[in-house]
Amino acid sequence: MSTATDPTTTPLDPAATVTLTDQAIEQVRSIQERESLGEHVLRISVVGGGCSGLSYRMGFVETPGAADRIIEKDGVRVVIDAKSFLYLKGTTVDFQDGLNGKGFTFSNPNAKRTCGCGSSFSG
Amino acid sequence: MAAAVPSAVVATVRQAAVFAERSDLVAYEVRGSDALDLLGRLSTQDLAPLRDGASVTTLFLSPEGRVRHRTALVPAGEVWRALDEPAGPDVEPLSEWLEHYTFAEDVVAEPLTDHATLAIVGSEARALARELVTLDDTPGAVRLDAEGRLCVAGSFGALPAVLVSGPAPVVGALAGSLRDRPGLVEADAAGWLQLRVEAGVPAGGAELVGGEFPAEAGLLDDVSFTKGCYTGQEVVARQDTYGKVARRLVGLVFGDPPAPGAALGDGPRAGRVTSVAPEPPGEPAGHLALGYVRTKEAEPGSRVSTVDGASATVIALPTPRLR
Repeated sequence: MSTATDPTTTPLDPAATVTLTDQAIEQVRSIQERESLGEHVLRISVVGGGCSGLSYRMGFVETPGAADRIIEKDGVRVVIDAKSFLYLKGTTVDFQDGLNGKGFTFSNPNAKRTCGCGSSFSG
Repeated sequence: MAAAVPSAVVATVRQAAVFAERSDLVAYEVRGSDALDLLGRLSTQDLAPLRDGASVTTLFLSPEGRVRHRTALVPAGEVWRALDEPAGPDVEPLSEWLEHYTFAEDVVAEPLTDHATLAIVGSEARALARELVTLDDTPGAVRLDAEGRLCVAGSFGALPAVLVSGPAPVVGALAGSLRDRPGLVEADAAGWLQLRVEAGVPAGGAELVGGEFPAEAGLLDDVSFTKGCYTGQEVVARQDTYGKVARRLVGLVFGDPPAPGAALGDGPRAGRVTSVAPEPPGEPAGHLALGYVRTKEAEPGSRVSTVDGASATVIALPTPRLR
């Protein structure tokens, strides 16, 4: 797995990290190759709105922001803005494919409730 | 011209129009390249089809589906204008509410200071607006004129209405010109309350205090059932699908004037009296109020009682003299 860490806490503290599973990293790399975005970074963010109040958003950007948290593993760079990181601490991002797969999934211990489709939560 | 008595306000709405200052509405500008995106994720209405010259009344809900703001939204070039009615004095201002949901987006919402809003309601409201502010009388039509007046054609319950919002001196001058026109009346707080109760229109701080569902308050016209996700949607959709709404806002006729806030029934699903008209409506006989009752008691003709034993009959609104 690859993790983003808050420099003020113990790097292995699960509550202070955002973790991407190997499957998630592999899927991100696959998309980058397919869409010729190898030089881009993946931004994971929380945005307002969605049925439970907050939503997860993922997208490729050219460069990190000055205050972003950065993960780098196996050629994939993931960035998270500071405010989103507060809501994402302790989250595990996975990828589930197959007939009943859900795509990218977020297991977030900070979420008080999650909508039925899993893409929105309340903090 | 002194403000008209409440019964004269209601009578004039049918014949011409009444006007009143809406100091309960707060005007905002929402700016930023992500304004449409953020507002769209939060709004019960679909904003994407709106273009300059059109408006929509939308709701902003809590994640639990409860009404926090009822807002007229208007795209105006690079910004969105909002005329906001908070669901009660304990609800945070719209700008703070939007800021809570703003992360890295380019969005800023600011209240417009020294602004006033005038409401014109009645059969002649839109003709007046066409004459005075050159507003098209299509429902939802909008005009932002050179004097900074934002004019929105809408409705007040089932009654035609226009809102004019702008710098206080400019709106004040319009109110002054309306006072000089024969046949129109100005509604003070009592007259506006009379009109609102007889029309069955919920208001922030009375029928809306931050904990009501849109279906309870009769606000489903402010909700799109075909747009994508918005905050609170799951609850609204579930209530619509299964029809499980515990309470409904209705008109009530009492023998004696009830106290606002009086509980109707007891238990966790008890209703309450929310607003009381200053004067009896004439027909039906009695004292008119708005209130929430259990859904099974919401049919016209049903009898309900306050916990103090005052009984009332549920009636359909608007009252006969407003239909």
